[in-house]
Amino acid sequence: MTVRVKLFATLQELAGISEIYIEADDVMSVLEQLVLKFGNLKNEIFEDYDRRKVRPRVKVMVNGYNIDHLQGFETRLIDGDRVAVFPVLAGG
Amino acid sequence: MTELKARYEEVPEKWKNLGGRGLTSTIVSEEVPPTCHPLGPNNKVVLAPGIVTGTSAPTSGRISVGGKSPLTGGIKEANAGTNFAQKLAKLGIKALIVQGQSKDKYYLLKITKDKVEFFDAKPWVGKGLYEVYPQLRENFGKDVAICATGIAGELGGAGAGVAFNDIDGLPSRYAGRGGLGAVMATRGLKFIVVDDEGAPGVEIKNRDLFKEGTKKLTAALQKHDITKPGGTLNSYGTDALINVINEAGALPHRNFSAGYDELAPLVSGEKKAEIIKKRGGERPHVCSPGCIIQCSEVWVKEGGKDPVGVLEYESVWALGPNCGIYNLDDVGELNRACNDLGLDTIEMGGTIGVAMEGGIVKFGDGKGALCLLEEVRKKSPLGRIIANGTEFTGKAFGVTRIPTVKGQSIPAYDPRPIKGIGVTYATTPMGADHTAGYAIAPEILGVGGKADPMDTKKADLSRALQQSTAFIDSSGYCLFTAFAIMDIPEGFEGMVESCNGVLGTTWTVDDAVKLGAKILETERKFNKAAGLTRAHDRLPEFMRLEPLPPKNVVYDVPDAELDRVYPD
Repeated sequence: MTVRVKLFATLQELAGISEIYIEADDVMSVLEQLVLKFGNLKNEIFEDYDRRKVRPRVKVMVNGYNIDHLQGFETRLIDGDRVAVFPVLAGG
Repeated sequence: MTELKARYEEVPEKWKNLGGRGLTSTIVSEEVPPTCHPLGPNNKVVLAPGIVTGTSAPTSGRISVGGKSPLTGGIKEANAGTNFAQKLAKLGIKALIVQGQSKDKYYLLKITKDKVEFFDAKPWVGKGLYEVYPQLRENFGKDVAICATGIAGELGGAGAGVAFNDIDGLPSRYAGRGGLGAVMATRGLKFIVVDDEGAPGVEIKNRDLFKEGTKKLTAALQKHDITKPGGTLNSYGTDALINVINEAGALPHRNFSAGYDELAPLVSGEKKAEIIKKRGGERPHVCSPGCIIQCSEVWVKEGGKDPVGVLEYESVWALGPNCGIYNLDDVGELNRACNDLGLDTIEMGGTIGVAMEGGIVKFGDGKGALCLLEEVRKKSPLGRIIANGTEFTGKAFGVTRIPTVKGQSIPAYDPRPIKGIGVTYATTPMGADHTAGYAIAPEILGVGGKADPMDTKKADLSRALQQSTAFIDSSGYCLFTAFAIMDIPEGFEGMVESCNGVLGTTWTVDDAVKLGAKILETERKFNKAAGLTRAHDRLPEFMRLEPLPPKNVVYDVPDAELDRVYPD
């Protein structure tokens, strides 16, 4: 599946791009491929890459819905899905 | 102001443990007749620093401004971060109550440790605040702090805010909401200048407890990913939310007609930080001394010229996407005009949005939007309409999609896909105000727990947030400390302990929340007496009728759930 991945805040700055198209079937696969493409995101996204433990501060939305309210990192993706990955942030 | 007299009064026993919003709302509810005309002789403006403001407590330079709002018809508290708050607190002033009306002219009030003096404000009336602030420092001392109402206030505009200086002296820190600038101006008061030289400082009853409390809170702020040095607030400012809220389909575009637009990244915090760095503006920056979050910044024009001050998320959204404008230079100039004229940026974004909907200027026309604000400077009939805010302007131009609650413009989160923030907009005594109970934290940001934004059962969440917020607004701490203390309980304990240290009280965290609940009760009582009913605790009808793309949802929280927030 080809999905459109958007990076915000520090993840955008470290990767040097704001978005990229990635082949992936689920959210975890997106994160893994981001690390393969941008090595400097590894420690930003994963607490323990070998065990695929994602840092709690990393947030993911699929088509505008937080994966906490979908199937988490196992959320399945289809062609054309929009996946946003960003560190916890706030404003007001 | 009627007699041009100032006097000091001892703080009554019943008020001695109050500060900030708790104190302004209590004084307003006791001293202002709820049915009075907000711009008439019986209204008052009350300014009160928070409980710990003026001490070494971190991120605590807040001042609350209160009165009866000409925008909502109810009680109003708006607050800002500025060293004005700290200087007033250091002079030992718990609250400044401005009452009566000078009918003939405007005055400037100068407060020092020895006296309060009135000066004729004529040389600075009818002028923009970016021009006036340096002149006031030249006349009254380079280190004075300044509070002002602008040209919009002179018009009695319900969109007029109360301006304060940032640390560079720019008129960019606002207690913006609810039209309190108009209440101040109609007292005949244009400026307040505070010089704290030789001030005694804030009395701290239990220094050890204060120190222990601030240590815990500081540790929490420095640990949390949002508030720590190099954290997201520090690195990108509040505007980092543009991309995230747009992604969630809840960033209102073109007068609340869409929740997502591909152009939003052009005005994002990421983009802004990049431009500020390139142009030689400042990022990070502080609104007041002693802030350890440092979310502020100084936006400048090309070549590093003409600093505006901060462009907050709310201001960028209001004057940007809500008006179909995706150019940060246009947004910067609109923000400058608001600061210069004494206007609330959120209210003006809503106002320009409905004016565009009404066909006065086209969506996306940044220069046209600026011309609308310049009408306020001219004091033209159109300018008078604009200065009165979103609801007034929408009515003037026959618009039905008017995004207000209790007459106050809805901020930068469309509640259709985020139900809990809508519950806060509808039920807070303040009129539509995201800061009154920031449900976005658990609903979108995963801070302070996780709540599904589409779940309609949000009365308990909103009520709890409104109560804790009312306490924080009274403490003197910036509301952004909440991000850390919602996730790190020791931080909240430290906040309460630092208040206990100053006051000599023995509050627990539960007591603090109860104090917040009591403040809300006081405010709601005032609103009821002013004529506000449950019918006012509702979102505008169009939000229940028009699905918001791209999620295509309407606001569907039942009225019974809204009424469950305050069942009495």
